[in-house]
Amino acid sequence: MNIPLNHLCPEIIMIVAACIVALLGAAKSDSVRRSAQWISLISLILAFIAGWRIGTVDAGPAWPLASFCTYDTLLASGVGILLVLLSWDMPFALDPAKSDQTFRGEYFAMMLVSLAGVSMMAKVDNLIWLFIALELVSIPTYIMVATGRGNPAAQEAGIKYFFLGSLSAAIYLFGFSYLYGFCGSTDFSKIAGAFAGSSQVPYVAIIGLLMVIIGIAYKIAAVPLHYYAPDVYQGTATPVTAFLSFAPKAAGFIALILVFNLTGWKLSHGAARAVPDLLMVMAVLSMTIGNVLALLQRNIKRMLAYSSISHSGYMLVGLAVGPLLLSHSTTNGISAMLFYLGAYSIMTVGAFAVLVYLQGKLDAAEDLDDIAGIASEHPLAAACMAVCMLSLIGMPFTVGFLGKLFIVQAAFSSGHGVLAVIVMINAAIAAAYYLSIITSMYLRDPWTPFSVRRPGTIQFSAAIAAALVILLGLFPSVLMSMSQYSGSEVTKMVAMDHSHGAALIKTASTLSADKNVEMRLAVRAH
Amino acid sequence: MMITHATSSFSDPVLVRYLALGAVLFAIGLVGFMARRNMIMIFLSTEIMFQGVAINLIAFSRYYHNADGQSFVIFLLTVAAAEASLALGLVVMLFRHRQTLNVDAWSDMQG
Repeated sequence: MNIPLNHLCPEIIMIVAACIVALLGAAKSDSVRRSAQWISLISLILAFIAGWRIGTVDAGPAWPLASFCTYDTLLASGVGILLVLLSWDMPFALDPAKSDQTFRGEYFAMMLVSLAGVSMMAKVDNLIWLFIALELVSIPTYIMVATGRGNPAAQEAGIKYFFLGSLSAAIYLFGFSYLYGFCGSTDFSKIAGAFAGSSQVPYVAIIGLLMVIIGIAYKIAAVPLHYYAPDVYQGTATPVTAFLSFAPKAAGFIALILVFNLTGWKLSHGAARAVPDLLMVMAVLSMTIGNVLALLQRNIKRMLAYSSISHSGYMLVGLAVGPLLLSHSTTNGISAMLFYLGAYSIMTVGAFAVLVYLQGKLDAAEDLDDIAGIASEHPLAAACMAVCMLSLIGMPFTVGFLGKLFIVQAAFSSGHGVLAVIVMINAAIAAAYYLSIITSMYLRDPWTPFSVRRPGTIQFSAAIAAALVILLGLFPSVLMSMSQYSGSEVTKMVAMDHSHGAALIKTASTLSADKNVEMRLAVRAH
Repeated sequence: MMITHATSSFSDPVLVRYLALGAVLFAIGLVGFMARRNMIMIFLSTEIMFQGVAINLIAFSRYYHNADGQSFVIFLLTVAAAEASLALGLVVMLFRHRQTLNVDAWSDMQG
């Protein structure tokens, strides 16, 4: 690793806090055990501030991916704050009266370790480290899924998630071993050099890349390794579901960006064409299968699991078109994808926060009947849910709209009009099931009497997420400039790797001018 | 430096034998993962896949005369050990619930 230790400050804070929380979780006194949430919350806020401060110090050429890493850290710690707030009374006890005795801090320790892995992901510069970071994200989530709640469904989810997770790890590791075999080094700069130096990408590297993509497809819940998602999302406790819809997905997409960076994105001719083709097929299948199967669901968690598959498809479109048109940095596919990743994380976490807040038959609300008619009694929760759903549909004035807009723009401007059209058709299909949630809340009579969970932090988390969805939809400049700079850094790296770069680097430096144009376009689009 | 090997790494007859062994182990593990119903056997299948990867890495490491692959293997074994402890813990927890290790006993959720 070449980056100085102080750049790892946010991750160090999270790991240290995780150790403290795990130790406190074993304490005898209940009040000591319950300090776990506060410590997690404070450590994530500190990590957010640390990430922000490191990001604002210009590291210059010594740290070419500074904005990308900062964006990743801020995403991990920022969404992490929402996740800690919404899982405030984890783990659920099946008997709510006993939840005071059964409270343990491990859940929060695992969560912090996993978030540290997400935050570390962008800073990786070696295949070994990439592997460690991916497993650092995954292994805690296996534990969280299996122990999140005590019923058989959670354990079923636990085995499915764990076994398929280690299968996917074996698949992408096999890919890593071939990438290492291709150039004889695990160092990213050397691998990138080997790709840049070979006129035609050899089969060994292509096989390696394909296996890495398939293995990581599991983390992002994309076709062909998506079929675990509905069962796991449904079976485990709802706060864990919220976590699963963010952490492995963010980590997987960032890992994919890093892996494609190695290739310099020049995979458009010869046998290497298989790689972008695979990505596009995965994108189309994920979008379509996710959205069509979501239409058939009554269970909201299952529905959101299929929705998560389809949103992975949208993001894969951004990845597949990649920074293809280096001269048009504003429609860089990577920027669009990173923007979408941030937007999707906020809106999906908001939706799950509302589900956690509404106490259903078992623990959290799960079924469409569970939320029928809640708007009359819990208007704020219903409004938060409605905002998140509208954003997931991609309605104007929400952040989800801008996310889809940028993805479609990137697809069109790189000459993949068909992909853009498929995205739009899918957005229309998706509206049906998201709207069924809204109609269930607002137009139906209450089906069952329901209560809400006590901790106010859950509602607070839902409200923050909904507010962010609206605010970032109206004033997207913060998220947009961050994702834009991150995307352009990736582009710049490509330009340097290929060393035909003067013009391209100049393009990247005129980015801020382009950004203003883009922002004006976005405002006009409203 | 070592990059000069890149185009020819798969034509070395000795290296190819080791790579074939790695690929065969990986395939055996994959088939076992699909075909077996016992949780411990499924877990062992994934371990076999990991070992196939390890053989690949060691073979390449020897071929290129550098230690990257070997250090990768050390990390890989460590993570595999962590996963093994997790798997056994999970298996014990599940066995206490249903007194069976057959994965088909754990397929309630459908749709």
